[in-house]
Amino acid sequence: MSNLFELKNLSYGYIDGGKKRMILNDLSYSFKKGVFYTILGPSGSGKSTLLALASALDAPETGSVHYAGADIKEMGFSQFRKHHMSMIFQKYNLIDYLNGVENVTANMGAIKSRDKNDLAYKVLNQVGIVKSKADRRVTRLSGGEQQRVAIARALAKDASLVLADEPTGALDTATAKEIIALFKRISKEFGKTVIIVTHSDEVAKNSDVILHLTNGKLVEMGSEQSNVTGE
Amino acid sequence: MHIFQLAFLSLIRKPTKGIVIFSVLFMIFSLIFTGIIIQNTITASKDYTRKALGGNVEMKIDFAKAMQDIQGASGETRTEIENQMVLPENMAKVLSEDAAVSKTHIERTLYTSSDSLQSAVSNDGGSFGISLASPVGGGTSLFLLASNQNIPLDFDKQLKLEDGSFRTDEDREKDTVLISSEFAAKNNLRVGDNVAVKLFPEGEPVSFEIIGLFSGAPNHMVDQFYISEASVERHAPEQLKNISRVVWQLKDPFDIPDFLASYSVQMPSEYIYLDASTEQYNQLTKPLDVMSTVFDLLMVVIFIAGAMISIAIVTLFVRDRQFEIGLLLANGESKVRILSQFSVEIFFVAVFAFVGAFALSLLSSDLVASWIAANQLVESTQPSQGMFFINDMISGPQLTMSQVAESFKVSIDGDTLLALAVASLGLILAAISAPLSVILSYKPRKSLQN
Repeated sequence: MSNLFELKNLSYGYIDGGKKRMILNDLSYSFKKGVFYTILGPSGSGKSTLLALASALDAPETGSVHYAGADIKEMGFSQFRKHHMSMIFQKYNLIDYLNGVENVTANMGAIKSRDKNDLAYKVLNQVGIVKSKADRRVTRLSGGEQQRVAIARALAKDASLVLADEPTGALDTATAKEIIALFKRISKEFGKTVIIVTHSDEVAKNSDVILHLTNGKLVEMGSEQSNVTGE
Repeated sequence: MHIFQLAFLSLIRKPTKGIVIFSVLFMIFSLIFTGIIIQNTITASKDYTRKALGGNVEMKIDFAKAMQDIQGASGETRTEIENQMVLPENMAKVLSEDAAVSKTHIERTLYTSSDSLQSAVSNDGGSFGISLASPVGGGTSLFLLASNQNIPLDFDKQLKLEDGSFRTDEDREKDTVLISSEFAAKNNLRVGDNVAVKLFPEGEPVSFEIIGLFSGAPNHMVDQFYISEASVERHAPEQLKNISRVVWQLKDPFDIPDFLASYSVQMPSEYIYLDASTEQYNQLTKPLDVMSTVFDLLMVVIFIAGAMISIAIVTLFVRDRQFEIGLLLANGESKVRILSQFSVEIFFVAVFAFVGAFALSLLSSDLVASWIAANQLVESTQPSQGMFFINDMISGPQLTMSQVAESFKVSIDGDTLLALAVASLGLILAAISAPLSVILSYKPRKSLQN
C-alpha cells in the first residue's frame, strides 16, 4: 500500500512558565492510503496539536508535512485544506444558519459537479440522513445526526484524507458505534485514509492501526485487524 | 455555494445581526442624508439668488470715497480726483471682448428741458433724493438715457413695454424714443407721435418718433426718455464723451466671481470699481451660509460618530462569528472569500438602510426646509428689506429674502443621489474596513479554539 500522507521530523513546543516545553519532538510517520488510523494519548500529550499540524490549521516549528509526495507548505495550506483533506470535529462544527444539505454543498467547492444538491442528498443518505432531515437547519438535528452531516460533508468533498478530532466525544454509546462504523466504511468502501485522534478505546479497537503519542513521538501499537505498519 | 447565497441565508436565518446593523446604518444614513439634502437645497437657493440677481456686472464710481477725499483737498488735488471719477470707455470695450460677456450696455445721460412738455412726476411721490438740475431758462427737466443697445438695460428686469415696440437695427438711422405711459398720458402722446426735445440745453430741438410706451417706472423715472446712442452721435456728438453707465451682461451668472477677480484690479483709478450686486447677494445668502456651516459641522460629527458606532457594531458582529470563520478556513476557504461574504452581507443590509433612509430623509428634509424658510430666512433678513427695495429700483432686479425662501424647496437630482451614495459607501467602507481586516489576521486553529 502506498504512502499518502507523511509527517517528517515535526517539532512543536509551547512556552510554559518561561521555559519551552516540546509537545512534538522530531516526530515522523507515514500514513497509507485507505487505512483507518487512531491516535491515542493522554490529555496534554499533543494529539490536537498533531492534528492541527496534519490538517494545516497550524504550521510546525520544524519539519514538514507531505501529501502525495508534495510538501503542503509549498502547495499552500489553504489549497491543501480545500482540495485534499476533510476535517471532522468533536462538536460537529457545522454552519448553524445552513441546513444539512447546504452544509454539505457549501464544502463542495472543488467538485465540478453541476448538480451538487443531488450528490449531497446521496452522500447524506449514505450516512443515514434522509432528505427530510437533510433539509432541516442543523441546529434542529440531534448530536449524532449533526456528526453524520459533518461526515457527509467530509465525504462529499471527495478528499482522500479524512482527519477527525474526537468525533464520538459528544455522542452517546450507541450513536458513537454507528459513527465508528461509518468511519470504517469511509476507509474501506471509499478508500480514504482516516486519521482519528481520540481517547476512545472503542474507536481504537475498530481502527486498522493504533498509534500512541508518547514523549512527542508516534508509537505504533498494532491492531488485530491489520498488518499495516508505519515508519 | 456562492457567497451571495451564503450571505443571503446568513441574513435571513440569523436576522439579529442584520437588524442591528440595519438600525444603526438607517439612523446614521437618515441624519447624513437629511444634512446633504438640506445642503443641496441651500446650494440651490444660492444658485437661484445668483441667477435671480442676474449676470450683470456694472462699472461704478465710488462717490462716497471721492467726496471724502475731496474734502479738505487742495484745488489741484480736487481736480485730479474729479478727473478720475470718469467711467473710461476704453475699459468698457476691453472687458466686452471677454468670452464670458454676452452683451455690453453703455449708457450716456443727457440732462435737458422742454418748454412744451409737462412733467409726469407727481409732487407727493418723492424722488429718493434724486433731483434734476433746474433747466436753463425754465421749462420741464428731462432726463435722456442714450443706450448703445436696442433694448435699454432697465427693461431687463424693471420696466415693461406697455405699447409699441423696441428699437431695431433698422431704426438706427431714425431718431426714436421710448417714454413712460405716465408721461404720454400727461402730454397726450401716443406711439407714432413725434416729440421735440433738445439733446443739451443750448441745442436745437430734435424730433423723436415715439416707438414705445413703458410702465413700471417709479415716480422719479417717469420723465425719463430712452433714446438711441446713434441719435446723440448724429445731433450732439460732443455729448458722447461722458459715459454714465457701463454694464456687462455675462452669459452665466456663475462667471461673476472670476470676472470680478480678473478685472477689478485693472480699474483705472481707486474711485472706479466693478459691482455685481455682490453686496445684495452676500446679504441674501448670509443666513444660508451660516446654516450651511452648521450643517457641515453636524454632518462631519455624525459621520465620525456613525463610523465609530458602525465599526464597533461590525467588530462585535465579526467576533461573534469567529468560530464560523475558523470553520470556513479549516475547510480551505480563502480569507478573501470569507471577507467578501461578510462584506456582501453588510452591503445587502446597507442597500435596505439606504432606501429607507432616503425616503425618511426626503420627508424630514422637506419639513426642516419648510421650517427654515418660514422662520429663519425671512426673519433673519427683515431689517434689510427696505434697503433692497431702494437698490432694486435704482440699479438692479428685485429680489427679496421672501423670494429666496420660496425657492428653498427640497429637491433631489442626480448629483444629490450620487452624493448620498458616495457618503453611504464611504461610511460603509470606513465601518467595515477595520473590523473585517481583522479576519485577515485570524489563524484557523485559534479561531476554532475560540
